Amino acid sequence: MEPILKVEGLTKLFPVKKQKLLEERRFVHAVEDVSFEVYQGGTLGIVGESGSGKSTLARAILALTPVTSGSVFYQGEDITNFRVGAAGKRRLRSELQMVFQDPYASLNPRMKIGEAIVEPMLINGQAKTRAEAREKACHLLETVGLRPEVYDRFPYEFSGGQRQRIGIVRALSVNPKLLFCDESVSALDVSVQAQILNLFNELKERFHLTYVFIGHDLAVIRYISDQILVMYLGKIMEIAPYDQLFGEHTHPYTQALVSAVPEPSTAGRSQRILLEGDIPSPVNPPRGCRFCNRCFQAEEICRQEEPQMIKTGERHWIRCHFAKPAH
Amino acid sequence: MLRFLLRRLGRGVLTIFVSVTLVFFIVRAMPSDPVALMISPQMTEEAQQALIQAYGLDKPISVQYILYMKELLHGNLGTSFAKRIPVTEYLAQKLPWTLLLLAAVMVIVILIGIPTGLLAAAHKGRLADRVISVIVTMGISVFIPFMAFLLLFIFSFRLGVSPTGGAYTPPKAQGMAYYLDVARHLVLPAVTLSITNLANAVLYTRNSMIDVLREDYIRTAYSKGNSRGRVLRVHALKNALIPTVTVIGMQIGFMVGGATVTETIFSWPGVGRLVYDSVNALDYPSLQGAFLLMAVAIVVMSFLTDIVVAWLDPRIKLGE
Repeated sequence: MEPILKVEGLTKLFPVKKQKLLEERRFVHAVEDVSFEVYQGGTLGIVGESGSGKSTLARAILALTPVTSGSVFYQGEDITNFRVGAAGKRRLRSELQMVFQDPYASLNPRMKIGEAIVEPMLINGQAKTRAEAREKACHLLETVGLRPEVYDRFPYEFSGGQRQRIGIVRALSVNPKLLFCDESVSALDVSVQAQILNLFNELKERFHLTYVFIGHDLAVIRYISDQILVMYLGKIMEIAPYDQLFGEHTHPYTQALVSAVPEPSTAGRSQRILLEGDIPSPVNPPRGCRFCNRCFQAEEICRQEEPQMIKTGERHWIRCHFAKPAH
Repeated sequence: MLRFLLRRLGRGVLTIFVSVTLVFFIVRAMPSDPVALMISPQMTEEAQQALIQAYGLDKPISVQYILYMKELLHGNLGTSFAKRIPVTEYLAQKLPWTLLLLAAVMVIVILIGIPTGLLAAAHKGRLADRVISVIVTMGISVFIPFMAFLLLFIFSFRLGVSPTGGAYTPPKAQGMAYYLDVARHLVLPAVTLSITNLANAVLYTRNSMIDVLREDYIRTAYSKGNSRGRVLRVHALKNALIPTVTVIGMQIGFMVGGATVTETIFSWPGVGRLVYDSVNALDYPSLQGAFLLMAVAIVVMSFLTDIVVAWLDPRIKLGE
């Protein structure tokens, strides 16, 4: 089966402003050599600390920031930087949508809810007339549990959870096939998070969506994903099916992340792995393995040589010198 | 809404009262005696006394103040010492010219300033932005009287394309010719007065555009498939205009009081020129009238600005 989204060697570097005239040009290595595939109907979760390049990766795929190198394929077609002509661009801007992180900042405060939802439909041709768009918008608002009367109100009148529903309606209004959720529940209260996550699951069935779900909370990611990609300092550390991520054979970084997930039990919890130090500067990533200076298993080879992705099982890859390859 | 109106009205009246009182005493603190200027030595003793009494200048300052405030409540601004006509009439003659100048300046500021600020923000850090920023800095720092004389020297003296002063060439022409004549006279003072205002408008528009373009909802707008032009004009500009509107509103209020230096250099018969003439003639009532006009204009404009800003930004609720 052909993947709906395929990313190959995607790299995004941001130039660092020069301090001195003759200084060598330096770059922030936000995303480096990232490759993965997403299949129709699946949900890919992407986890990592702040600054690991998760959001940049999503923005680069959606051409909201230009790609430095690498390619993005959608349904087999090369769509890197959306260089596909005006009609193709309109199609991509409706089939690939994003629900953003901060529901407070990502809605234009001067635009009524209805206008914000209707605008992309009119631009991308999902509705011919304003009346048709309005009807569709009201229907979608009801689908996510909002009353259609909100159409003529401004964003500041709503709570975070309501705004995130509005953001979801905005994304759904153009009949997307692939929906990127960039930390879409991180800014919400835990009880509201659960509501929105359930909504995402419902909508997935109803609209036949494929998700790329970005977050830093493993518990949330595990709940919604079937394949999980672990990023650290711009690189993929591990790609694993959701049920193997919490198993025995995983990347040391993943183990540290997993051990940090709170467990709702009174039994003595398994030992926590505490990482020392901070995430290193992405301008000057460590030689060898990206994770070597914080890894509890690091040995000399980790500081000298960068490990490759090693296939350790069915749909399971680990970037570690000590990973056991599958037979 | 009613509470908001009443509160703003109360505050406005208080502002005007304080300003009128301050101006009344500051004007009288000038180290000269208007009586000496008004009265010629040829006048008889009785005629001199009659004149002094007619203007109330024989009474102590506190009594003069109470009389002035009393008359002010009846809408009487007094009689000009120099022109011997009611101050309201004197101001009414000058105000339209200042308003004409003001309108010309605002047209220039809005039609040129906002698009230029937008252009600079859209090309932030690149050549167009740098050139605009340098010109804006020059516009803010230039000494306006110097600019006025430079323009006069180039366009009126050297090139001879522009009149040297006044608002029209006497005798007054008829119909279209008159309007064209006024327009020709209007160009130099309007350009001079626009420089600082224009630079401010560009600067405010540029800076707030740059702030707004960093907002998350701008990325949302791109992800909806909006073109760059539409994102800039529809999504960003409306949000970015709020500081610019505030600045322009306050500038309008201030300029109703006349641009004394510019109007004087170009002999423009507006309120600013009236202020200059009144200081020279120690014409207390006219000066007080001009400053009262300015205070009222500033109060009214700040009120209107608040209403426009509340309309631009739905998050602002008046009266809360």
